[in-house]
Amino acid sequence: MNENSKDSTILCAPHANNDKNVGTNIGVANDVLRTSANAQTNLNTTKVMTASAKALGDFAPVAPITDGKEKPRILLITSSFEENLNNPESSDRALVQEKMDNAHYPIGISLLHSYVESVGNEINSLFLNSYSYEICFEEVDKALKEFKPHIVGLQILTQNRVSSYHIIEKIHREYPHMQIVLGGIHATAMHEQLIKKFPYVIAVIGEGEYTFAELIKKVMTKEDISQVKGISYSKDGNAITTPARPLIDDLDAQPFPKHELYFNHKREFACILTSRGCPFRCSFCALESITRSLNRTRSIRNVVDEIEYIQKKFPQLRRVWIHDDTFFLNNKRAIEFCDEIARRKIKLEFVASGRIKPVSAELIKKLEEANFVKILFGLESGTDKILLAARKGITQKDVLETFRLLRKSKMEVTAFLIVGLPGETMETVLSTAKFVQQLQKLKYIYYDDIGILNIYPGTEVCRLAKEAGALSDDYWLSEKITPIYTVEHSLEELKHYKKVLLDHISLRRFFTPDGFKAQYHMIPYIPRYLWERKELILDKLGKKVVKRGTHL
Amino acid sequence: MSKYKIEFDRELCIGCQSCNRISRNWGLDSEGKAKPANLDVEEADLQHNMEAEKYCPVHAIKVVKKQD
Repeated sequence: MNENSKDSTILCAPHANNDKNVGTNIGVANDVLRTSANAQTNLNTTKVMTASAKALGDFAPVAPITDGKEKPRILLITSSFEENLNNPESSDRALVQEKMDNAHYPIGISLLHSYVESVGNEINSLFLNSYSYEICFEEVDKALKEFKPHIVGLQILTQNRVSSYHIIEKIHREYPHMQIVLGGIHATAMHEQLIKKFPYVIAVIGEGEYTFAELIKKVMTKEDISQVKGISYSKDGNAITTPARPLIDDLDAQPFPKHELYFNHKREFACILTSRGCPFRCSFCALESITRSLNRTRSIRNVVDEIEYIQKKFPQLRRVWIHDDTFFLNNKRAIEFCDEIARRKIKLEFVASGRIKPVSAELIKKLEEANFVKILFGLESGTDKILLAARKGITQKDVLETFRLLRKSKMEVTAFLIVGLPGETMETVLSTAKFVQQLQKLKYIYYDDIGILNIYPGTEVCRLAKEAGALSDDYWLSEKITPIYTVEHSLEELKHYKKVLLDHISLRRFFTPDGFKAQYHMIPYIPRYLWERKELILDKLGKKVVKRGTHL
Repeated sequence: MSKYKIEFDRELCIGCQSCNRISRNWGLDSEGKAKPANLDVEEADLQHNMEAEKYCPVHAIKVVKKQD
């Protein structure tokens, strides 16, 4: 799965332990006026130098030792995405909050929040991915002043690395007594580079729960951190990386994610994670850095207990979105989940994503019985040549077999596509267009948009781009946006490929001259799809014939 | 004589290669499915075969103690 698709939005409650604040938008408070530009010019050299050993460019413990009665205060931040840079909507707090009321929320941060809290720390989390840089920096400033954390943890994703860099520099400059800890997929893949750039931080590599909790104890007592597994820090000007920490195998032992952070009276859907890791190694996917391509699962009983817990606490709950890297990997387990949902008479809608293979007829039947309303597959391309090069482990034949099984299903099906994978040409684009139309004839797939291949550190396509001299690791330290894979084609060519593909498969293009020309023969296959989704379509057209079902 | 043996259900295998990344006892057959080099497991090879069992997402691998 592409990093793009993970942990997309959300800002939430400042005081997670206090139910009264559930769903509070910390973004409403507006008493902090510092802007990113101000922050950058407000360099306080004296404060930097007071952190003695930092002058040598090494990690040195800074957080004060508490008296044992005061709990360590931990602030987690996932900062603004680069896509907000030229998006005026991201500066409208009310609009962003409204969008987030029923948007996806980041499970990784909420799992970490719960675990760190469960081992005796006071913790707040800021989810600022969807806000402008300016609002993001204001909220961080406010939290630093009011919550006064001992330790600040930043989730670094490739798309929020730039805003994160600003925050790291600001904290180091203005709050040198706060220990900064970096985590997340980008920090994991690029930990050495980050430690060299910010020698005063500690990077957590891989799954963060146990590592971060142990680190908090060490930092708060100024103990040696060299024995903590799974971290990177600076010593004598070098990035030291400790031995890898074993993956977390007993997922049932973890507390449930902190759903309470995201729920207000308007929220009707929850996000859950029933497993971690995908064993396949697609060339564009960065997930391996964190999960080492090893799949671990929770027991179905534990998963359904969580669903019942959310349902009991938030009776307005209507839909559960399963955010596993690949939920259908073990068909037997997915069927077991469906059976347990039926056995406990849980009446909710479900959505899940997974691999296109293996998907059995029995699985589809059970998914429908459990009220799965939508399933999402990663198709990426419709040509065997590209699928093979991308190491997808699927062929056109596999895809057709699954779609034949889905032919009469009422579940909505999505099959994600990426333009510009290694080996892509106009010929493969047209071949993909033809293949997707073949699929749409079996089971219509609605396309709003498709992606152009991004490069993420730690991926095979990143390695290829570096080998071709198109990218160096310095790029990740720049303020440029996440790069597009332009090794084989220019950005303009890739945009043209995308247009051609969308003209063939997107219903939104149907009434354009190029779209009609490419799709008029698909007319017999579209009405069923539209009929099955008439309520949603009418709703989106503003007729509000139904109140529900608006956030597919 | 080895005390452990491998039971492998090839029908369940989805060819994800978790086992062959973890254990040197596991490779792939011509159809891309897992294939153990040895079904008998010596004590020295027990650990990595057990890891292969643990991380097989479809539970196609079992390392079992031989009957006396």
